[in-house]
Amino acid sequence: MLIALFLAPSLVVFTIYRIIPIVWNLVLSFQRWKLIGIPRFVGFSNYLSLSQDPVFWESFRNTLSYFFGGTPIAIGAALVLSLLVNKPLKGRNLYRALIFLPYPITPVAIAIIWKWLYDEKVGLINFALRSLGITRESIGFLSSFTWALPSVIFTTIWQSLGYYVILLLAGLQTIPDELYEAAEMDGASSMRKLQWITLPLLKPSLFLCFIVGIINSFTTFDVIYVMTNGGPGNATEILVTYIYKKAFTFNEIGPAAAMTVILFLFLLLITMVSNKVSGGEAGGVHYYE
Amino acid sequence: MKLYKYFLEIIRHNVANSILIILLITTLFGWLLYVELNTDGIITGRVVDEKGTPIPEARVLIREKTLNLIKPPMVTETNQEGIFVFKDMKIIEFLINAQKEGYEAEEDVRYHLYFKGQHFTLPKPLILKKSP
Amino acid sequence: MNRKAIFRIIDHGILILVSILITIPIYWVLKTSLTGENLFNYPPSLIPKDPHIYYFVDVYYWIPFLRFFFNSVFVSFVVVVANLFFNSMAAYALRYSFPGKRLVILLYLSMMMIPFQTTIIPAFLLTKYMGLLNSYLGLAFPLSSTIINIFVFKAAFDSIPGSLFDAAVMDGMKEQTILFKIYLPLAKPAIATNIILTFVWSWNNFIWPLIIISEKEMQTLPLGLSTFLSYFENTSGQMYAFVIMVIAPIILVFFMNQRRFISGIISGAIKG
Repeated sequence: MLIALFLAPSLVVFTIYRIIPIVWNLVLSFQRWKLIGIPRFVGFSNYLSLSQDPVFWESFRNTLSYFFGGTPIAIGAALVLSLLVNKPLKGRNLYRALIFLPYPITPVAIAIIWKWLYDEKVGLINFALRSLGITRESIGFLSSFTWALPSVIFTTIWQSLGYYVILLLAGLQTIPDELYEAAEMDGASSMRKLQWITLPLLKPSLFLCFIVGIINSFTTFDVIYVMTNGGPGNATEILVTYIYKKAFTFNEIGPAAAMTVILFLFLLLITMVSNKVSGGEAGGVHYYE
Repeated sequence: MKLYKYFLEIIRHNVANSILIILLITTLFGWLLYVELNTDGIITGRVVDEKGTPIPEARVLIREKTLNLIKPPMVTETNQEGIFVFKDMKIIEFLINAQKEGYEAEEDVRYHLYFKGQHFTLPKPLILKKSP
Repeated sequence: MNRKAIFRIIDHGILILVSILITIPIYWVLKTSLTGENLFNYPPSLIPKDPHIYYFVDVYYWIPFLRFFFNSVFVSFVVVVANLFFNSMAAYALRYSFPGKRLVILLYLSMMMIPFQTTIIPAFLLTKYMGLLNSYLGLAFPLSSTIINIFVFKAAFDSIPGSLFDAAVMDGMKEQTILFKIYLPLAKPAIATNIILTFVWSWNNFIWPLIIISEKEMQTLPLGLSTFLSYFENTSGQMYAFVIMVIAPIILVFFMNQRRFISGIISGAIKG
């Protein structure tokens, strides 16, 4: 009996803010409602109108670009860095601390900082590019259709690098030294050691990074909302920001809920598929922000 | 009772952190105390001509500046020694200039204070040039 | 030996380069908040010239910074305390075998698959109907328990020998007493992890306050930052002083507790 009492508070929170929303979202996706009056059931018409909405498809594409463009680079760079930091170098704790530093910082603040760094007139990046002679004119990073999304992706990489490094470091440290010693006695070079010992044994950590990367690319809201709010046009609109706009700016609850359902199912699909592919690792997944 | 002991143990385990926090809090309180005790808000200065002679009975206008606008001016006059005094000023940033007949109009000088009610003496006197 | 030295130099070189790239944005903002010189003049200089704290004074007086700060602190405090209680209680309950335990664990695990962003519309409606819009409770309630942290506690509790538990039961101790007087003191790392993870998440949370707060007085710091940006463009020195004032506490907490921070993130991610 007491068990139920102890479980109750957390279960109440999750029922209200996880279970009910998922179900209600589904219901809302079949309704037409603008927050006033009574919602009407309209069947699949929200989904149909979404399929014809170019902004929806663009935001979907952008979300995928976010993932395919940003995560591999971030994880790759993090791998290199974690291998370096793992070595017994002087000051590695400082390096580790600095690399991780951007992660706990408020994303809104980071968005504001980078929005300014990217600024066409007074931004540091343009100044550096011009003084190094790489470009002659300033690039409007956040106002150009070609540069906006990569710029935002780069900012996310900057922030999440430390997180991946920490995860990979933890994985690296579980690899027993004896394996390396045995390989050295067999005369293995560094490259071979990397290939045959490190990488295979890092697979669980890499998989974890992969999952984290997926979740991040599907749920980053703060940075995009503050930096570009989906602009210019819809070049940086991702699913989450479009959902927010539809629901809270235009009050079109139906389509927004439908998009949420699609987002959720897609996330679920990817997670389950990657789970199968990697041989049934991680049972649950870590969501952060 | 147990909570108090728990707290003490946390502090003992993190001496460096605790010292830092205590230092920060003390500095903060010290500053707030100082501010509270010095809220006369007296802004004073001198008006002189190019040679350095004080100009009496010059009108001095002070206008408060907020983040997005400038408020209408408050006015006072300098005394025989060319000194003016504004009392009870609770402003952070202001523009100030002096005027007198027979002298050229000057541009505003901008000053920024550290807290509302700060006691402030203009570091440089307001200089008026005689009209040709 | 020379070859080794060369490699070490390369390693340090790369790390130094990356460290600089990572910290330049933060340093640049700090410098601008102290001098304001990079906003309008070119070329910017590396070292702050004529630093002053006037931008910070402006932020203090012209923005309800203290109010926002208090809001963030209060909500985060409530969230952390709630998490500590709710999560440890749930983890404690999971130590027992009871009918349906598998179901409950499966439930928890599956709910971890639901990211916050997919719940915002119904969560908003529920908060509205509960009358909790623009309220501290409304801000704190959804974050008051996190599944990862339940499992963090569970892992910690599992490593406590059962004999301790049996002895306590034989002494006739009540459940709450066992949890709070025996288990929790032995699970200090788990407590630290809980505190760090939930504090950072709550402090940095932006989308939820954005959705349910419409009164200026109730804004939290991230929301206040973004509102300020929309009123004053990003070429005001005050903007960056505001940014520094918002990120300074977190950076401070981070540097003071690096090790616990990092191990907390790791255990949080891996346990999940």
